[in-house]
Amino acid sequence: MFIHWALKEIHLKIVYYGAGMSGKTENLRYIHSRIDPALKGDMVMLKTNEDRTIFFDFLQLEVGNIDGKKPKFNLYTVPGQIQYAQTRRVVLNGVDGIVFVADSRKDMMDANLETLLDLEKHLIAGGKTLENFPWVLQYNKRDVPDAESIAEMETKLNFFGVPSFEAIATTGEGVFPTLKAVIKKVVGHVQSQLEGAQRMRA
Amino acid sequence: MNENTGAGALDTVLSKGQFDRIFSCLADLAAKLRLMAVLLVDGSGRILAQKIGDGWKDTRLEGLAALAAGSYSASNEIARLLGESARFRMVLHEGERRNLFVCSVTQDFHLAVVFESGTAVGMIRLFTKRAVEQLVPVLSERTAPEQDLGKMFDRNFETLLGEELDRSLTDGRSGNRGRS
Ligand SMILES: Nc1nc2c(ncn2[C@@H]2O[C@H](COP(=O)(O)OP(=O)(O)OP(=O)(O)O)[C@@H](O)[C@H]2O)c(=O)[nH]1
Ligand SMILES: [Mg+2]
Repeated sequence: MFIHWALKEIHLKIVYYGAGMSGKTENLRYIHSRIDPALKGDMVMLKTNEDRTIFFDFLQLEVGNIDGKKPKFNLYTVPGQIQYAQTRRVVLNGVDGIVFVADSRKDMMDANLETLLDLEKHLIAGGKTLENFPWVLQYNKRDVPDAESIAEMETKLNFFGVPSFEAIATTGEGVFPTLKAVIKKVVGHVQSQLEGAQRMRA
Repeated sequence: MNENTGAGALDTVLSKGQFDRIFSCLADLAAKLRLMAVLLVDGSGRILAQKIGDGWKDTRLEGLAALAAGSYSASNEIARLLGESARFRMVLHEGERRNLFVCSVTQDFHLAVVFESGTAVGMIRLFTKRAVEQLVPVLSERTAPEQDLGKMFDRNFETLLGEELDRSLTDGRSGNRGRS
């Protein structure tokens, strides 16, 4: 998080994390296509010829003035393919909240879990864990014929009971609810930390 | 830049006083070198301050900042893989008409400078080095983040933000199949 007092800006960094092809870039693409142009910057996409993310995608969103303050959300995606582990570490630098995009295709369940463990490995290196960090889950590709059941995915991935959303990123279903939820999680997390710090002093 | 994945909630807070001094340093640098643009960005590409020269039309430089920070941290990873013990001193992207120069200020912050090809790179290096020396003490001042955060994130803010998100982040769908 970054607070810019002179401009009354609050910058939060949200990273979309998940296995290769799970639909992270598609989430950002949809958000970019639907947001009021006045509230968004250019979308940056660093990708291979095959449309796979090679470094990151980036999109900055703003919402209106809140009580004189200007929140800005910097949305990033990581490259999901295994070989880009180092790149994911770079993109996670300074992250405030995470959307974990899980792929609903049955044969992706191992990859989803591996990727979640990979995320926790990076978090731990920064002194955090999945339990104490603000994140939400998105079950994407609900439209595929061989989709795993939600109950099964909850059991397999959501062992900390974070907010979870069904989505079809290609049509946009579930995309905005996911984004709003992660922002609320981040703000709630800051607030509880503040209250914790106040209790310590009292 | 930050080696970990972020200190979390209590990260960077930039006071008005710090911003004013940073901005005047960037403005001096931009005038002296007739820069197209100069930005101070943090490790994840957020802009702390920017000065845009005449003749640059685009005023939204967030994408550029994110890319400059990304390419700088990528180059640091490359340095590591090559067995360099320190990071590369700078990154230079040379174009036909415009160049981008990125150097670090402290671990967590870097300067990105856009300049026209007529300007000697040596000049850029010399003057950015001086600017870095001015910026380091300003950036290492610690503000009291907790108090500031308390002012930013009161309960009122959370409620109002929720309402504003519903207004701004919308695509006309009502279905919210979330469980929490
Ligand atoms: N059927 C279906 N296809 C989807 C959905 N979301 C994304 N896709 C498709 O899945 C493919 C991969 O989507 P991306 O968004 O590029 O995946 P990614 O997670 O960014 O992948 P990497 O960049 O490699 O990590 C694309 O062809 C998308 O069109 C969805 O909800 N349903
Ligand atoms: Mg992608």
